[in-house]
Amino acid sequence: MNCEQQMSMLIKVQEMGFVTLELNLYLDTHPCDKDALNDFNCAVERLKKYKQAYEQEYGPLVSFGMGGYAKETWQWVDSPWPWEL
Amino acid sequence: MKKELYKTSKQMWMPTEDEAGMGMMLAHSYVPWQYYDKAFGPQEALMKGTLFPELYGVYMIPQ
Repeated sequence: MNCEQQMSMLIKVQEMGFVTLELNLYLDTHPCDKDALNDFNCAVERLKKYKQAYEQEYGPLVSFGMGGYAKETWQWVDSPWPWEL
Repeated sequence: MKKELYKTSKQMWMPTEDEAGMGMMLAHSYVPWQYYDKAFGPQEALMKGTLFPELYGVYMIPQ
């Protein structure tokens, strides 16, 4: 397993997740800022792509029924935990 | 002296006339309005803990 590749894809998810969160908080106090709305939507789109790319390669990022349907085997325990990368 | 506040129709706590007469006012807080015209890149934002250059380095970080 290529840990370096996995780590870099995970970091991309975390970075874009942070950008999305920051824009989310900004929009709470500036709900009509069109630029921010546009950037938020772009960030959500990219975050979705990064998550999909990661999950396709390394399994689910979240559990508790929020990571889609289970495959033939229970993938949640298959890949290393983030701190094991 | 017992200090009493009364509530106005705007649901704000105001000093009593007594206190107002003594020149006492409630403190006002002020938060500068945030503008979004610049942003860090995703990597820099996560490292610095904010997406907004305007909010970064406002306070000195203790050594």
